[in-house]
Amino acid sequence: MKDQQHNSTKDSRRNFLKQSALLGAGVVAGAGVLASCNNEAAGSGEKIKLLTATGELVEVDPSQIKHVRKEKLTELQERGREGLAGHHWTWVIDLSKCKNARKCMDACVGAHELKPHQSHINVLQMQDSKSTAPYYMPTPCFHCDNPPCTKVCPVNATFKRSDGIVLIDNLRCIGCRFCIAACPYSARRFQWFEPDYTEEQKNRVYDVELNVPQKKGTITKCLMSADRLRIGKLPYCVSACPNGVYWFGDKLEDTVTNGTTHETVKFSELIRDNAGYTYFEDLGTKPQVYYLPPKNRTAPYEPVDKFQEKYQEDRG
Amino acid sequence: MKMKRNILTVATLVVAFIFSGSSAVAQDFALWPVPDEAAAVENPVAPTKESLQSGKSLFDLQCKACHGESGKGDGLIKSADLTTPEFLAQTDGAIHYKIHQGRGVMPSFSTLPDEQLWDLVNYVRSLSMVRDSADLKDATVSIYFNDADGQRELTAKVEETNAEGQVVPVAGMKVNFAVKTHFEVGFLPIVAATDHYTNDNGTVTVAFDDTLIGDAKGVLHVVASIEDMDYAPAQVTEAVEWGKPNPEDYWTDRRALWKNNEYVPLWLLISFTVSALGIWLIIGYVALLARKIKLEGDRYENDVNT
Amino acid sequence: MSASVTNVTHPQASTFEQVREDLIMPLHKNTFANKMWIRFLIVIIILGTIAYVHQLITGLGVTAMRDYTAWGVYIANFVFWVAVSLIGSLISSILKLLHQNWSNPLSRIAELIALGAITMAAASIVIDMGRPDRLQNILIHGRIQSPIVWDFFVVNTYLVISIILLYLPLIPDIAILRDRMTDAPRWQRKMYHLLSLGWHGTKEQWRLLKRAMLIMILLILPVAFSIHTVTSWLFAVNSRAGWHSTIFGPYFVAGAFVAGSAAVIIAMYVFQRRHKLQQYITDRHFNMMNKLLVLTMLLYLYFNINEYLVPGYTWQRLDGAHLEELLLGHEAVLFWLTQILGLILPIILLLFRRMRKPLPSLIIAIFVLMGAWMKRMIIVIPTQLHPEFPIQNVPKHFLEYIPTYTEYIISAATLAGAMLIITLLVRVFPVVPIWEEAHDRGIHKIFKAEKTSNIHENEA
Repeated sequence: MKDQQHNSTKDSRRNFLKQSALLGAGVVAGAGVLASCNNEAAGSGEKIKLLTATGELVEVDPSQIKHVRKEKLTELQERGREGLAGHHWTWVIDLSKCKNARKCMDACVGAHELKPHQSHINVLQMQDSKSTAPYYMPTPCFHCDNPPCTKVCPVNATFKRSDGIVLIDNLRCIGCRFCIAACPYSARRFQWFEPDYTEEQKNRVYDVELNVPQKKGTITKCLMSADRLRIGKLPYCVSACPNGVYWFGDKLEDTVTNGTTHETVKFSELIRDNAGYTYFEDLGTKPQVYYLPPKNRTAPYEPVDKFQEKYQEDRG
Repeated sequence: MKMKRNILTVATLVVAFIFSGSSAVAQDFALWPVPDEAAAVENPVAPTKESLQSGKSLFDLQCKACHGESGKGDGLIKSADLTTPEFLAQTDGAIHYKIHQGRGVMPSFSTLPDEQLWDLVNYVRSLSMVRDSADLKDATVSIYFNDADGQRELTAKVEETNAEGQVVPVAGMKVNFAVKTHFEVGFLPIVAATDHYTNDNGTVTVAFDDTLIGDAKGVLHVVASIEDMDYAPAQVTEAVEWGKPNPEDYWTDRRALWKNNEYVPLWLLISFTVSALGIWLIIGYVALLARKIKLEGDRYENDVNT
Repeated sequence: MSASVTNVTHPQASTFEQVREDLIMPLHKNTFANKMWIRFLIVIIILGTIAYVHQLITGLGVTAMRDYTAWGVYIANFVFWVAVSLIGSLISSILKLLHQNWSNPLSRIAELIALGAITMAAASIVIDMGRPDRLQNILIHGRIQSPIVWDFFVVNTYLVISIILLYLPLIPDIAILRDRMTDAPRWQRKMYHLLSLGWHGTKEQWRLLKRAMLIMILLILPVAFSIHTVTSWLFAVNSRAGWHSTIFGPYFVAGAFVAGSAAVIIAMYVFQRRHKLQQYITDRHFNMMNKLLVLTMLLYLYFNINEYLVPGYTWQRLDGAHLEELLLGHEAVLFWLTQILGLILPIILLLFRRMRKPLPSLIIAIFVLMGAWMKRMIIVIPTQLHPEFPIQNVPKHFLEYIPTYTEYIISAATLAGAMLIITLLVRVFPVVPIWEEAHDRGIHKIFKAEKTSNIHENEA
């Protein structure tokens, strides 16, 4: 809201303020971290005197200087921070159907321009204990309703939208990796190197809902393909599964649609009739990805190399 | 209720995938040996319209994802082309055997009733027969809502224009009722499990499911579509305020640790601000004392000088 | 009137002038060794800067950190530096409030170490950032809910407080230097003049200064405890085996006092020898400092037992996996070396009086300090290798963390940076507070303004 006020100010004045902001930055920083951490503390009523380009002496509150310095969000960033109204996306993963085809991983890597090992969805080979049966388990971001990652983010770069998606704004991320430490589900990846882009690819407008182009030194993570949801399409991975593993839908609407067969059922009934569950409910994270137990696996489980060649490429 | 059982059937069916790991997908069918006795089995189901219809429903659910809409093997993964002369050279029994057994990435459908498998065989065989869309007849479908006597009912009416130019009802037409979800491919069947066919008046009426959830006002978009091999696909969507209102209570303005700065929990905001301010006020006071020391020094130097 | 420079300290300094000359002496001499030492530090810092520029250009991928071990040496360094910096509060605040006057000559050493360490703590956190170019986002978009913002606040606050706490007791000494160091270069004299705040030791100035010092001594306590508690929360707030512990705050604070005390003992030894301060930093100081070290180590041992025994008793899924790795597995050698050489053995050795003499205690302190750094590595890294879900479908080297040369060089540069800050400061300021030393020796002259002094002549 405060930004809008400033949008109406004249350009010359804004430019001047921008320059003086550099001076002001020293004052703000010097005045301590008070200003840094909350606006309430900053608006202490003290004014900074500035000489405008036209020779007028004006008094400006330090907090105003900060607002001018605030990066202007691109339209995609603004839009990406708003959830799609009236939705709460959910995901049901049927472990009994996963055949480890990894088409989901390929689709994810393709859509988000990642290296194979960075796939936002990871198909794991699980075995809970020695005496229990092994199974394949795709793990995307769980888009928790009490997300530990957005709790710890110092700059609101990763955030939860009103439709439940946890996104990451990589024009803001400072690369502290606290969210990686906080996530119990290992859902987050970091761009340790400059992604392989041509100059042209690199300079594309950043789409927060697709997290493309990827940025060096920032986080990349599963976004439930927010860009696809916006246009009424199922996520990339969900649509790519040949085995009917994924059901994706809306908790508020109480429907989920199978990405393979497009069969649509009531979410609550699917969960109820198949003993759906979530992972690590005890952590209090309220994950929004549900699993159906791997029962009635008629096909044998065939273990594959957990460190396949295609995932070994580290830097571009 | 029956719908759920259907889901369970589907769930148990697809379990049977066997992952081969290699790219042994585009396979030469000669290499998939079929026992003579299996190949010799006669198809007991005639390729009637009903059989093809049933086969198509099954194909769309179970096979389309991999083999593609037209069966050319152009679905989500590379799979066998079901329209080649080599494929069609096989006996019905051989095709039935392969669907029943499965191999590699091709799952086994042995849990399906045999009759349905034969329907599927019939349909798969018909895939290669190119149907000209001009040959398809056109029909229109319309929906009527009726909630007299507190009993909510949906009625669909199917009509076509006959050779004389008259609009006449279509009898025996299969009609599917569903509500639209957010997704363009997502249609939640209102009444599943059993098929509904129009009567002689071209209408079919079903009871409405009162548990469906609409938008904030309870508006649902009901879709009625016809499914018949002789007719071009047609559907109609009507909005009706029959759903439960969307709860939308998930997102609240409650303050929480995971939200942005606008929703800082008050205890945190207060304790942080108070301690931050407190500490820096004290530091400021100490700076003031240092200034006083300086002033006192100046005063002393003045005294000494004068 | 130029000052006469002597090479020998007064065996039994009993006058103010003797104490003053003894303590100022090192400021006059810029020895060859000293010059070489500064150059050596600068070379390391330059190498570190080159390595850092390489990291900036190529990305954090030049480190051994990856998606699972996303925090490595830099964060361990950060915790280490924060820990070391806490000694300023222990000696200058806690011991002073407890009237432990023996520690007075050590307070400036502790404050210098605190300043150098906290500066490098701040540097370490910036070094660890993927996008240091966006540091200002913490000011612009800071979320009060994030412990990083709390940390950002307390680190900066503690930095400022450390500077003030170093500076306030320096004012009378700076005034002495202003009056005495007349042969110093112009910039140095000018600096003394500015920083002395027109100090003449009047009653009113003493009243103001003592008040300011008391306030700072009281203020630094909560801030010091906050800084290390918040630092521990960077780990403890995450639901991870080995981190999610309620005693992490006091555990870290206790460990910090261990590291800081060891650092002070090392610095004491160096300054005693290089500045010929045997008269001022005596065996008694070593004896007492080492007792203090044992006390803090016993406290730390107690927290260690709590930290490992309790989860070790239940052996829950991930705690068990983590502890198995630590106590018996991959990290066992590192873990036990750190615990035995850095904690248990020093405690036992320091129980003997002979081990509390300067040289043996120096060696022990070096082991304790190295152990303190290793311990931070052990706290930061192995936990991350035990996530809830197994690590699969990634390059094999994601399974382990072996720091790269780049990380070592940059780490060494932060060490050099801290030492350079201390070295440069003791070039221009006395390492033992002159006025306090005089006061403790019962020389009261300094507490009255010298009406007859030739201040103005000196300034001319």
